[in-house]
Amino acid sequence: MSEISLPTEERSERGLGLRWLSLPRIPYWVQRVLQAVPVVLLIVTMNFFLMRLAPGDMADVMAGESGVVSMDYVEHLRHSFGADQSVFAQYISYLGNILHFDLGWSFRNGQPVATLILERLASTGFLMVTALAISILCGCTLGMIAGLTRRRSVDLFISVASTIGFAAPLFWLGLMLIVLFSVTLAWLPAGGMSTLGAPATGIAGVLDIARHMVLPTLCLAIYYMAIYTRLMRASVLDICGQDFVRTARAKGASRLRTAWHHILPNSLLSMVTLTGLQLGALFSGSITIETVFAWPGLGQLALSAVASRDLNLLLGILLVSSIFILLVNLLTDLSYALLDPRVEASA
Amino acid sequence: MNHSLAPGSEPILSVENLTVSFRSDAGWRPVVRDLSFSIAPGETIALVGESGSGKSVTALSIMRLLPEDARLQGNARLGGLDLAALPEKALQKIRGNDVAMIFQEPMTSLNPVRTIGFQIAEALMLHRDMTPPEAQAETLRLLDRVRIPSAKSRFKDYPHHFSGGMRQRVMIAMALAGRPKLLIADEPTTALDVTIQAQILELIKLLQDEEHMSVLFITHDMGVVADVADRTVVMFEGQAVETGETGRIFSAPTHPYTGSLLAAVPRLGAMTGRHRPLRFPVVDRVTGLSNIPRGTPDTVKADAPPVLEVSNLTTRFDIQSGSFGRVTGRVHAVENISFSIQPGETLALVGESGCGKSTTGRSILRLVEPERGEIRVDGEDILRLPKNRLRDLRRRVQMIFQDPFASLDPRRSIGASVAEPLLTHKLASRAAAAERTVALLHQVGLTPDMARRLPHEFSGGQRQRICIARALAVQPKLIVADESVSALDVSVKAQVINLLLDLQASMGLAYLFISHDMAVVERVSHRVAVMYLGEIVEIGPRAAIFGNPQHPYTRRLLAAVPVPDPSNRRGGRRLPEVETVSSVRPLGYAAPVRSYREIGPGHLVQAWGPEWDVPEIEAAPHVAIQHDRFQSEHVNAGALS
Amino acid sequence: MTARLRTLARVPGAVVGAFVLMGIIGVALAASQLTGPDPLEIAGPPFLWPGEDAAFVLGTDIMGRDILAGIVHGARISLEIGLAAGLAAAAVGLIVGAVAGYFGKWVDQVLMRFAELFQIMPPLLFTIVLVVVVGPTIGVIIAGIVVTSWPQVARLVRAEAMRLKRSEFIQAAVVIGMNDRAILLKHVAPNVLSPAVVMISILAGNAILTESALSFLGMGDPNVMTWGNMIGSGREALRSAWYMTAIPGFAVLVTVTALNLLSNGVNDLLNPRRRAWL
Repeated sequence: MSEISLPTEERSERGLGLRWLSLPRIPYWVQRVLQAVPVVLLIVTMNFFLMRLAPGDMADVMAGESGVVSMDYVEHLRHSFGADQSVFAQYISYLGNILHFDLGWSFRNGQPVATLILERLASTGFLMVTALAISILCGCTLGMIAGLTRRRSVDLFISVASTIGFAAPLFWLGLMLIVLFSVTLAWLPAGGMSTLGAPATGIAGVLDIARHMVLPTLCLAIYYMAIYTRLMRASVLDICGQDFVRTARAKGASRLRTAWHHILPNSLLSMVTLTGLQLGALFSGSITIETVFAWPGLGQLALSAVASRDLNLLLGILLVSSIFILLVNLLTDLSYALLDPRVEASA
Repeated sequence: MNHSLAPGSEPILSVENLTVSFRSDAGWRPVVRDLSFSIAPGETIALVGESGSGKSVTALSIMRLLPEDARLQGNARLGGLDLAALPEKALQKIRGNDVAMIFQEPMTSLNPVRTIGFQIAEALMLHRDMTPPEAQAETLRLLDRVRIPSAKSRFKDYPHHFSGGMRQRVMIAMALAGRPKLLIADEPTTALDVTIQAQILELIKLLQDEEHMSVLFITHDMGVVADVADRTVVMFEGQAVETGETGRIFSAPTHPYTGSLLAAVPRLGAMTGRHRPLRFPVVDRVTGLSNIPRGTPDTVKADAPPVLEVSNLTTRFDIQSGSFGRVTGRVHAVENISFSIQPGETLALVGESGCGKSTTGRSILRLVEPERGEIRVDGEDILRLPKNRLRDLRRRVQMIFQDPFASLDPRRSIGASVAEPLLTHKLASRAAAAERTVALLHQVGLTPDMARRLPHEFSGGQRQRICIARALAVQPKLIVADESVSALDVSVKAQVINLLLDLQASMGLAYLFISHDMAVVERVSHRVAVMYLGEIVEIGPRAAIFGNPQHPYTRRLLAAVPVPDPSNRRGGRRLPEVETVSSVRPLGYAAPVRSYREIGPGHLVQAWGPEWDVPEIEAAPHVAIQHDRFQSEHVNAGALS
Repeated sequence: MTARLRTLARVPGAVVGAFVLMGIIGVALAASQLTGPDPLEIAGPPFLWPGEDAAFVLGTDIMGRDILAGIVHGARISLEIGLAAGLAAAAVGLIVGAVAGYFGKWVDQVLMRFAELFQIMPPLLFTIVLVVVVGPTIGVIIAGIVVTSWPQVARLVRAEAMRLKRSEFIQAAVVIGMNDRAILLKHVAPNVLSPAVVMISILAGNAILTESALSFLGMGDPNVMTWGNMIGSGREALRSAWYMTAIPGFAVLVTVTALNLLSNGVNDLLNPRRRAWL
């Protein structure tokens, strides 16, 4: 992570090991937050320019949306949205709006973009977090087993399975699961978040939602389970070759004890940062899954925005999801700093 | 084979006809062949050999910790148990309990995310049936025994809080946890500084006496062998070529290989009475015949203007925090040092890790940017050179690095690597460069047909020769050799040093020879500068520094060097317990103003403060003895000249 | 020669992957010869199950188009997109990573902030936005995939370049008087090439998956037959004729699996496991 930025020659001189020195310095979390600021700015800037890149300006789009063709009205809109000002002035006012969490107006839905997004955020988050939890748990377990087992057959089976899981198109997997479990076996509902007309409260309501969640979560989880299995396996194999594992074995620790007390903590630590990096892909996966299973989340909202050419809404979703993922990344980095004793010196 | 044991005692460990092979594409490849030796209670056996001789594999096979693609044949008996036949469960009861092991890399041998308390207590709970509170109390006792200060407060510390020497102490504490009968120490001091090495060796000896342990000591260092071992097994290409009492091995080696190994070992004090560097004798490994090393001519042009003049050089590094970090501290890597080198002269820069010797070398080539001072090459101040004229500097000064495996581009043929300086400086056309390359390879003792091969096809010594050829391509006047022979096996080291001396004689090269190895430095240098925490504490003619050391640090450094002579052991001498001090300073730290005293012609010593008095009192008897010995040698040297 | 065969035998997955991939490439190249030039053409009665009619081995879709023709022609598009996006992302990642890792300091900070930007953006969503803003052509889709996938390569290459920069042969190159440009080209680039090359086939696999997802969502290039389009149109008949969805999805699965197997194997060959103490 953040190491003292010393010229390497000084570090590599045998055993200088400056790392055991703790020096007073800027807290790690402040550094990390400061590093995130330019990224947020970049995201916002890119959004702004994507909006300008669209054919016609915003006023044209909105005029089209509201079905009014009068040039005067277009001019009026243009003025009210500042489109007749310089690009820079528009940019500054855009930045100001973003700071107030004002993401603009969705004409198709007749609601502010921010409100629409906030409504859907929870259900997408719920789907993603559940899938993530399942995939981390199962993926790390399977990866650990594959990396540690001496039975080549077990390792081979897990590796091949994860390679295939990694290669299956998510939406297709979802469709196939629907064919099997909803159409053929009729065990589970094929889509939606709850049954229409069914009681939405109490245990029955919770169970109903749970039944609807099984397929989309499972589907999303399979893909990320495959990723975590592969990463965990590689990490375990790498750590098995480290000197301290030999030390543990030399003091008489059994294979199991060495795996549990020495390999696992190190492997899990390396998984923490990877979790943050996978989130963008997880969100992408959830877009297709929501479409397949008619799950009322951000992904569906994005697709309906595409269908109605509601660019304002679409870019709002891109902005919010990117910043959301950035924040989670920040959190995983900070929790890594808390979990890894080696970063403590700089925390 | 000599199997004699102390009378009346059963061996702790006896190894008979041990053969270890690894599976390779071409079938089973033996790494250890037909090895036999035994260790009596309380005895120390050294397994000595160069890299690839199979000594570490032997240790791992006694622990049965070999990888799965290894095959073990023969017998290894621990007491009445046949280690080779035991099931895994029984082995776990033996490892860390009857037999414990410490390793070469203290920096990586401890789990970075577990406290050292946990790691030591783990060993106790595994073998001594202790509850966690009992294990904690016993851990603290063990930390005390390995002389880790304020053990109680360090129980919950992580390995990265400890220096290399301290980590090795933690490893030793862990090894003692099961009260082992046998301790296997695999190169335990190789990665440590010489003063720390001396302390660790002494600690092992002390604990061995207290615990009545046997020790199997694996090393490549004949000095360490002479210092610690009762008996010695010399290994060569997987076989024991000679086994016997250590004193006898050193005084009358019977196998030619042992002879060649001993001949190549630099000995501190061997140069007394000589004025010029001395080549190493070359011993034939088969016949055992040795040549008398040819003397070197006087290469130093004392009257000519100096090739390098460094004055008041200061290089500091900021310690920043992250990308927007402000500077929170500074490493005073090089602090106000001055020296000069004459054409044809070798100045050695010695000191321990972190003393700034490498940074000095790099500053001279402007691989790092010095903060202030002057560096004059042929009278021209190269610190004033704009970046784009650095090329000129790099035609006059060249550098050879430490790691021969890392200093050649793995994807370029060695011919291309050697020709690269010529083409970069446009000193030759492609065809002419190819011709020059052939000549250069020849000059360093390689054949021209090797030019097309890739670096991985060469041994460490050959690679270092290639690096020398590359440095010679631009015909420099000065070569900075940064630990250039430190990573090489002892016999290869001797050959490369001989080459460097020959090149100095034929080309009149000047060397800045950066090294931590005092014995090698004594052999090759005309003058020596001793560095400590970024400063030169003593500089002078080689004979004066080694014969009449003045600064307490120079004396400590010299006293810590293991002497490859079993009849002159350090036995019982107490070395000062010093921790590595670092040259990291807070912002705004003002380096103290230093004054130097001239002891003899060209022999300058920094005036030292009271901070040096304390360890000297502790070590007083020992330093006094050393001092006297060197004094008398100095007198002798003086009388001869 | 036998030594090479033995080396290959150590990575059976890569051998299988390579053979499957060669098969797919062969089919893609001979697409028109195998099934006729136009997969969009209505060839027979709709809703023919595989095997029902010997003329349509894999059956026909809702509109009576030959599914085999779609698979064979779709292979071509998928491979083209995979190869183009994989190569471009690897090239961008290689350049950015090498420069950032070699120069360090502010250059590294700036480039890595950009990498972070494109790495946290959900790749599919970004590509959707791009398609909406610019238009649904294969070129735009490839661009979207490249923009969101180069940071993976850049991070890998950067770490390697940073390690190299510390290594003594780069220091030696400085000492013999080479300038930064020459060192980057002659010493850094060749040595960071292999991790980037290994990534190409993983990236190609990802690109194929992303393109098929886009097509499935109805945002692919409507003028070409792709596997994603086939899944999307087959979905309408999922309950009655699931084979229309299953077959093209399986084609994606096989292709991407082959690419990943190849990548894993090459990676294992380049970075053999050194040792294991457990």
